Amino acid sequence: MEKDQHQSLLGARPTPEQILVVDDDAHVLQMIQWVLQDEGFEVQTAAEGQEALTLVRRHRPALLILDMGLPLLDGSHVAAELHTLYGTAVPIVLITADGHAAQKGRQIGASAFLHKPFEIADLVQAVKRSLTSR
Amino acid sequence: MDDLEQSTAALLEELDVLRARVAMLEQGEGLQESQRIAALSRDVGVALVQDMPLQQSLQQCAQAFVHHLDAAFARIWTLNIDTQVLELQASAGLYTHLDGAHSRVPVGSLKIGLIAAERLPHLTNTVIGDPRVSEQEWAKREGMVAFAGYPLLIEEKVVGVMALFARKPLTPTVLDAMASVANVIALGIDHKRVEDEREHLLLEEQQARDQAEAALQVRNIFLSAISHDLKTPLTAIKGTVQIWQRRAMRAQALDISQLLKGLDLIESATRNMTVMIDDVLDLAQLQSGQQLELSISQLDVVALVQQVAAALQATTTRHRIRVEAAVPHVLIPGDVVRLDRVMANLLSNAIKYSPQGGTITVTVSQEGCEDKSGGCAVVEVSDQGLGIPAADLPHIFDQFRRATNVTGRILGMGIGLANCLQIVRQHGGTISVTSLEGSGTTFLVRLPCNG
Repeated sequence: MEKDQHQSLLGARPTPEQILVVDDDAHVLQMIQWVLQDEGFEVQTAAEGQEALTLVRRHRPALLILDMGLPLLDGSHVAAELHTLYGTAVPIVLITADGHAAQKGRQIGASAFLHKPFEIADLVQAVKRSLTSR
Repeated sequence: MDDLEQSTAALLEELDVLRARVAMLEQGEGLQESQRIAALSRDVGVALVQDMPLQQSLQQCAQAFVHHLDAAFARIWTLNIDTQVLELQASAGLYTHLDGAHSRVPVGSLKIGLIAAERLPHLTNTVIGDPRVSEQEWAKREGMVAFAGYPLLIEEKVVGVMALFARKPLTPTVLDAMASVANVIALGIDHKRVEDEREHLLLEEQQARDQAEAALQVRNIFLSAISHDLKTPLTAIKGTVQIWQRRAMRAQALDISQLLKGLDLIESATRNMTVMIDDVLDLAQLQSGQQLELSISQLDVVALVQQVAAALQATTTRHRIRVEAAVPHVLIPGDVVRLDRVMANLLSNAIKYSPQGGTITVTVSQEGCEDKSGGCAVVEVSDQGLGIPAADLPHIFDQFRRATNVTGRILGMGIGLANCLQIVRQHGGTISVTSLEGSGTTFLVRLPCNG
């Protein structure tokens, strides 16, 4: 019921909310982009931490989908910078393949976490819940 | 007559006095001797119970012989059970060196070796003329009178020999004392040997445990890397499939070009997974000590490189893969699946280890090669990425070895390059690398055209 309400709210907004996806695998990045576009979000992507930092400094995203294991600059650095810039205003959905999602999620203050390979429905739900509970 | 009787009685009287004095003297000397022997036993005991290296303990024992028994010099050898050679451990008195002619005495040779072989002491107070003492000239010159050599036995087994030379005769009491301390010294040597053996075993056990632990750690790191690396393309495949399931459920209008993009992604991710799984299978074969079974056919290196480059270009927008072929075709006999994997490994590494993006250049040419009459196909893959630290370069083709500047930051199994090396070698070719940390890496592969 609450979910439908949110969807109707989202549909009523003039500009779609922007989500930044950070993952070093091009396939995963593309796939998540398709999922979020299907849900009506605007999507920006970054394949490594430094690029993600540049993007979040330039523009505050509505939400960050973050892979922890990034080359050059680790995911936790991106999360820390995001907190410095915007406090807790930007929720983080953590995605990781190493099985320590919960622990790492707590460490960086993520609002949701997913283990790869995750269900698309779970990703969509995590994104929407995180946006609602902001 | 009276005079004679008188003087005889006086003489006898005198003799009795002398006898009494001799007896008194003898008693005193006996006392002195038993005191010396007690002191010897004490010193030997103290030397052996002290917590110090065996050689040091035995040196103190030898010193005690010299000190308490008036020996000119005393020596102690221990038996090396493996070589059956007596090894000089202690030397006190006239000679204190542990090297030289008597430092290693095989059991059975020289008087020391004979004592060990016969397990019987050899004692003499007439060194000059004793057939066992071969150094007669030396004994005469140095005035050596007595020799005592004892086998050091534990349960009838020789653990060493102790011996001394003296410039005056050894009394039976002294010889008895030597016999008694021989036993104590033998026990000391045996105790030390058992202790050393135990320590050695403990050390070996610890080393074996450390090795097993290290192997386990390598395996665990490998397993977590492999599962991470396989989960990544699986995430893309599963997600894309579910996207199309959702779109079909919503009865969305089918966008063929979008569908094709999705299918391409699935194919590309599947290709990545196949490379990883094949790498693991080859690794398993190599680890079982077997060579890879190649399936050889005539193939075109230019076409192969172009195919792999196109497939990997599709996975990145941040990198530009440029293929430069000096000739339209370079034909070689090779295993197409495995050489495809070598190129895929080199190119995906170039992408993976240039996270900031950049140009990756692949050149293909045909050159004359040393002792390869038909020449070689030469493939060079250059990136502008993180590079490999100089210290890691010599190990970069080793199994499970990854450059220290990417370990823990970029996941990898550490087997791709090891397999590349094996595959290229089994083709009769070579692979080499040059790199500068911070500016990029170049891999050079040569594959003979005549097999």
